[in-house]
Amino acid sequence: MKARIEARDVIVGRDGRILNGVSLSARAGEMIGLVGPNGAGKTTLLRALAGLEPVSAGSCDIDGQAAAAMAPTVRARKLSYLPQTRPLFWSMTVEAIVALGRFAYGAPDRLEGEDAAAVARAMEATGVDRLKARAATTLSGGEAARMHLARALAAEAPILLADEPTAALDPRHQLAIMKVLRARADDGTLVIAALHDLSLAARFCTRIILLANGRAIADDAPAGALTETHLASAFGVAASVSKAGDRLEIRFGD
Amino acid sequence: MRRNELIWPLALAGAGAALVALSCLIGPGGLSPLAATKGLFGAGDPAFVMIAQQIRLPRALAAWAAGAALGASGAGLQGLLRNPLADPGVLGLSTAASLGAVVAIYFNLAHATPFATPAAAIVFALGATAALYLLGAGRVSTARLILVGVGIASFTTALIALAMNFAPNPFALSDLVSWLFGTVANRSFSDLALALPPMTAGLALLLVAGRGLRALALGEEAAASLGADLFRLRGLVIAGSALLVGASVSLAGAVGFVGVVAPHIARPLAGHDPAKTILPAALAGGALLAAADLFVRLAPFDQELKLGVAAALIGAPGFVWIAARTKRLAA
Repeated sequence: MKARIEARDVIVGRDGRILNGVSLSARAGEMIGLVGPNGAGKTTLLRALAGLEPVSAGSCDIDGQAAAAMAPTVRARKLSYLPQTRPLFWSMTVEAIVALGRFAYGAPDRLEGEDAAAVARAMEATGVDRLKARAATTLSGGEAARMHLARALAAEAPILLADEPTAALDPRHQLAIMKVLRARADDGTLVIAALHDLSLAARFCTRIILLANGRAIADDAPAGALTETHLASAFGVAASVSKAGDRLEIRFGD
Repeated sequence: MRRNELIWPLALAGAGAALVALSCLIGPGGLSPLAATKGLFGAGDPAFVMIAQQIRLPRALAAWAAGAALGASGAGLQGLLRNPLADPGVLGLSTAASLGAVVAIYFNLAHATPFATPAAAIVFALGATAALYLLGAGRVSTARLILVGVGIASFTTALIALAMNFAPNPFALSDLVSWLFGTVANRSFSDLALALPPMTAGLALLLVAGRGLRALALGEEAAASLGADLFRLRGLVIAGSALLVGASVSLAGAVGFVGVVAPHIARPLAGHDPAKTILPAALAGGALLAAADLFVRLAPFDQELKLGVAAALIGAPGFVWIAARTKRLAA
């Protein structure tokens, strides 16, 4: 199952204070990194694409349907969303949390058939399968991040939106999570992730959208989007970009 | 896992049944357990039959049903508010329901139809639950929620006293005490018959909401993205809790802390799953309040202790203990 996202002139907030006319068109198999300074509108854009943020003007469509107008379970089968803040209110087991990813499929109290298989695949892909009987509240930060990602993967939706999936993680976990996301994209999922680490974004994404002040100031392959001019204008500090092998190295300041 | 899921509810249901049975067999009144057993089955001295069948049995069942309703509504509210301290008593919903019952009784609405008392209790509980949700749960903060609840409790308690002052009917201070501290003394099967339908409906609403409450374990944003209809979910839990609390209060008055202690007992038995907690919490609440009423009847005091007082004697320390142990689970 493949899906596409089409956003046109999205405006959020009074006078477009949060998002000011962002458009994007994304299709299956892309791994898009959404980057930009704090407050650029990355989270709001992801929420709008997920149909969770009311837009004042413009449109966010999933396969030609307005995301916000879709029935919740229909939308959840098309798109899974990993929010930036991931609270956890009850100490359910890791497996029970990951199984919530199958909510839109009416996953019963006991996992069976395709639901059980999807949950098992998601836990294996993120390496939390050996933690499945643990109380979710006892996990370390890295383990919890992988569990939440597994929850988002378990839906096996054709679109995956992830807000800062690697925030507050050590380099090993950051790489592990980016690899999982990229593997999903290579399998035909449309992945859009808000990322803070530009080098990581450049390395794993097929396309980068650079947001600043609620506008997309660049939308291109990593080398085309992450130029010194674009970065300096987005982040407001001098940036230097150099190529090391096939990777971009980005440094800020003088 | 499957076995535990069945064993614990059965054990809690068995405990409740045993306590109700025990309540019918023992107590003051000078009849032996044997005579009471006979009486319960309609044999022997007609006076004993009356005591067992018409006084002790409905009273014990009323205590159990009121406790079960409070336990279930506590579990539902805790799931919605994502807070293990949510309790219809602590949050003022029970006193709001009491206010509704008092208004119905003292302003002669109950005279017109017996449905007026539970209906008014349910409507007032609904208003208080909605107010609590709107004012206290915008951002998930335990302190704010509890403070709004304390405000609702104080305000409705004051309004009960005020209503009694203005009431055209003569009243006794003991009535005020009964509504605020709860009692199931002198309850009849017709009282039960009025309370059981809304209780059943409320429980059904909460059970329907269960799946959504499970998704809410990840917070509202994730739950919405998972496909949970939050608007519907809030409506189900608020209406279900109001039905349960209103019916419970119209039957037994305001009894606190059952709604926080019962889910706390049930939760580990249900794998901390908010959906699976509701039914065991109801069964635990029923057993708790049946036990509390048995204690009230057997305690050697000149004047019978109020049910809510007995519940608070055990439940309030339990509440403090749970509050002290509650870690900040949410990020």
